Amino acid sequence: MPQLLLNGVVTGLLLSLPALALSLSFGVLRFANYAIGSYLTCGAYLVYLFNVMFGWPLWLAATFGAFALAALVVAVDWLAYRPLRNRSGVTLLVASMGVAIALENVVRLFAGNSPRSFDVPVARPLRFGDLRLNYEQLTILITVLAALAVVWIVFRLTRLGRAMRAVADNPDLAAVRGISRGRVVVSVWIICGVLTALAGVLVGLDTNIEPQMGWNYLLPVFTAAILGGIASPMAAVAGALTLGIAEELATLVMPPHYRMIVAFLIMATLLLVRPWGLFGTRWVTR
Amino acid sequence: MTVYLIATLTLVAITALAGLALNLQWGMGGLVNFGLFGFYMLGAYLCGLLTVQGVPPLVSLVAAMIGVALLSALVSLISVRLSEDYLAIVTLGFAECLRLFISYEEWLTRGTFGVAGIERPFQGLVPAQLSDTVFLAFTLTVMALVYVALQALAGSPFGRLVRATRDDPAVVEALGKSVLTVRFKVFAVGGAILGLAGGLHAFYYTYIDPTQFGPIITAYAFMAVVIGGRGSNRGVLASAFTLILILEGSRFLVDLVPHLGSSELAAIRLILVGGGLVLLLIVKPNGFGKEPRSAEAKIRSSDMS
Amino acid sequence: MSADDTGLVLHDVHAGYGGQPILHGVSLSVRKGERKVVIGPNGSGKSTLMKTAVGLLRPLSGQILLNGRDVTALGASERARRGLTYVPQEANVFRNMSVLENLRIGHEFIAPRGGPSFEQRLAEVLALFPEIRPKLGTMAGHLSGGQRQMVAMAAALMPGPTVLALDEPSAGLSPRNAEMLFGIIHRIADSGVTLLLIEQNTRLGLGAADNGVVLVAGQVRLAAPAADILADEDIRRLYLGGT
Repeated sequence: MPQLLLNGVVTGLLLSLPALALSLSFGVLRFANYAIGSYLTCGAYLVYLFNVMFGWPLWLAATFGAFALAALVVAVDWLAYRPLRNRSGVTLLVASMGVAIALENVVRLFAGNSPRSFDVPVARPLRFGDLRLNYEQLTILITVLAALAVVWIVFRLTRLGRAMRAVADNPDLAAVRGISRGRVVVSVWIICGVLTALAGVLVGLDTNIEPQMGWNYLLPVFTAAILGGIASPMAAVAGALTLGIAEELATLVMPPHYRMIVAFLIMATLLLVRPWGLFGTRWVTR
Repeated sequence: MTVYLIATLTLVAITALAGLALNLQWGMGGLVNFGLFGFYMLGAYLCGLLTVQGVPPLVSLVAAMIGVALLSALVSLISVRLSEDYLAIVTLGFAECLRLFISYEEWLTRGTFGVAGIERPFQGLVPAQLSDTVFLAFTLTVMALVYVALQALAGSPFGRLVRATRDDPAVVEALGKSVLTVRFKVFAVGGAILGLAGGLHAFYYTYIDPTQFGPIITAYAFMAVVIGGRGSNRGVLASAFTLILILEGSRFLVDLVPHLGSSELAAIRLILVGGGLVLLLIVKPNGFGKEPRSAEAKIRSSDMS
Repeated sequence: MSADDTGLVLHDVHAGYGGQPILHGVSLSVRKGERKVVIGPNGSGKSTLMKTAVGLLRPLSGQILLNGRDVTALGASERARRGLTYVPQEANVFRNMSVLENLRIGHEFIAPRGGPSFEQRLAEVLALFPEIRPKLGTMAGHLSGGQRQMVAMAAALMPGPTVLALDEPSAGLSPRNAEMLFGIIHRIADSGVTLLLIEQNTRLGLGAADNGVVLVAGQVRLAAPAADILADEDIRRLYLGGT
């Protein structure tokens, strides 16, 4: 049981990065970005490029990959989403699906369908009494906690963080208070790109790198974000942890390949009963 | 060449049906169905599994339609009170879960082995060489019937109500109609058509397995609706035919171009569909067709209240 | 009018939504240090005028000058940085952020470098609005209507603007609170800030202004000293339908 909880926490932490990214972009841009799965995939493959094809150590490859993905994400916004900024949320939704399909298949075109792995040294799992923590899980733990700490600091304590919260709260008011929406939008996408790339690396370490990897995460990521209260970024982390633990606990009664069904059931229940999430406060609306 | 043509036309007609279904759900109703392929796949499996058990094909087809309609209605209920964003992820999640279920529950669905030997309607009555042609005729007839029915619906008071629910749900509620009921019905009818399309898919291939179904189908349907003009059934038909004819027809180019493997071509096609979708939304959001009534200018005010 | 004199000028502005104009050729100017009020019946376009002036709405044609510079093509955030701040009528605070954060935001994106620090301005602004001092840690969305109005105004004052635009400051306030708020508005204007406000309550609005503009159906029908408008029963009846 404690091992399950530990696994759940690690799974949840892994999920928290893209869930946080999704919540952030939703709060500031007001649409659900279905391309986030494809960003994760692209991030993983970019890092693979640097790690395996260029031969760089993983941490270096991941750093470059994160910034490369951030650039890609900003470019996608500029090309695809910005022209649609004034349209309805539904239009952006469908556009993001178009982006998702296009990006995933660009990866497929260049990299093919067969799974790949990062070039990392093999390491023995750590043991703490009865608990087992393998190298990948440890990496996830450290990376995610560090990333979350940085994001929290930026969000709560810096000028940029205030600007993002202001735009999410009330874009017109933010404008008249001197906040340049364009800059906030770019910052949000950069953060989204970095977080999602890291998540891609972690997923690739944990399982495999293949073109579908990001798409398979769409449901859990959205569920985690909704659990947290879709517009509340830090609460998305709590949502992700909850989902991760729930998924692991579910393996007591369900076969592990049915994780998605757990996520779906949780989401369906939530939407029927408490759509503003478990941890989100009812967003103080107008 | 004729063999290729018949094959492509049949696939186009089936996809056109999926497009018509989405046009009802999304084009007219504003309901974003990102899990379209799941309902389609369900229709194929219901129809295929029943037929293989000995149920007459046409009966299986109807059963598939009813089954998918019911399940669509249930799924839509999950988020019917909430904004359209939620329906998108609910349907997507549902489709993915369904795909998993079908892959793993072999006792029921034969899993990745697939269901083979699906008998087509009228199979006993038709000589083997004409089977494909007859089936094409059947499919086109079905498509034509659905088109006529949907056109009738679009022009009817219910059709106006559906469009009103999409554009101005508050007004609809103020008039005493239930937005929830309208959405529920629209999704169910769309589901029935998707079940129909899936069933036809099963009959056409006479063999189904989980790998045949994926977001590709969803993408094609959205593309067809965006090109054709949301709400315009005629536009959807026309765009489905031209678009998919080009895209699927290019499948046969593989034989001609040496470097391009079929998986590369599949990827290129999807890149075009995805990118094309975005481009169309930017440049021609109302597509090339026209909605049965004049579209209202939406006044977007930068309102602070 | 020399460049120094002009605070905010609108010149022959046509503006509206979705291509439908609501303002038809509105011209008005607020000189530096002047207090101007725009009054008019409901639906006359006062709100549209405000939004166009502060940069939330792009005019269909016409020109807008701020402190002598053409700002027609600039958005709200850029106009704010050039000294024009705005207190909207509703949704005028960041409800999910604390009062202190609201005030900080008011300051940090607009205040000129080398100007008074945040702490300095905070002290000065809180002197005008002592009632919000104990509420600095509270979420703005949990304040009463009157307190929110004060926070909104305080936030707009934090960067030391040259022109302050107010959208119906008395809206939703009890008569007593409205009087109190206008007392503060007088003090703000006394400190040299140029004031442009729209007001439904003509008595309070005209009482706070040097000059008034009567806007009806998107056009300026009258521009005259506020005292004259206030005193003239005919004007009130003709353009404002009584009260």
